Amino acid sequence: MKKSNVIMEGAFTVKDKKGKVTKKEKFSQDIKTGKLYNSKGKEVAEVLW
Amino acid sequence: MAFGAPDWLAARWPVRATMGTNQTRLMLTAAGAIAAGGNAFLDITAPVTHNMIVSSIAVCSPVSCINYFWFQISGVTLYWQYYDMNGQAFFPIDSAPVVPAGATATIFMQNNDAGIQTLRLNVAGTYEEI
Repeated sequence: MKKSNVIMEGAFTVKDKKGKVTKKEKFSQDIKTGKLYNSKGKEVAEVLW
Repeated sequence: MAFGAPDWLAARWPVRATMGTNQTRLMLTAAGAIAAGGNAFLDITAPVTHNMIVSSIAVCSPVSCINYFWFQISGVTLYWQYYDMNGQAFFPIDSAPVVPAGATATIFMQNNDAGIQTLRLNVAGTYEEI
């Protein structure tokens, strides 16, 4: 994915009781085109884990 | 867990982001199976060219149990709420917080139930070019 200045970046993180990260998934979206990308920069319909 | 396997919702509701036809609206949904005493948080960093106006945040639990969530912009907590009776909570109320261009909003969800549960988060808003 080509980085531009219209990219929203996000991350969803899940931790257990001890604070250890059990799942983390990053994503981003071009707000001009509406396209969603996973952490590898691949265009996806939804970010799965 | 009242509704089958704990992961049923997370499996069907991963992170999704859709936008309106004018490409200025944001609708983001995320769900995760969270262990007892665990938590989850969603970070959203606004584009450097746009402010993000948050019109609605909904935090949903499939069961009625004691949880809490909070909402921050750039590390400043703007809202903090326990919810238990209906398994859902909403923010903002009569306001529309702005996430400045390049800044990060964080939504935190805590599972204080005795068992694992899937908590779900919906965020709706608009982008405004600066």
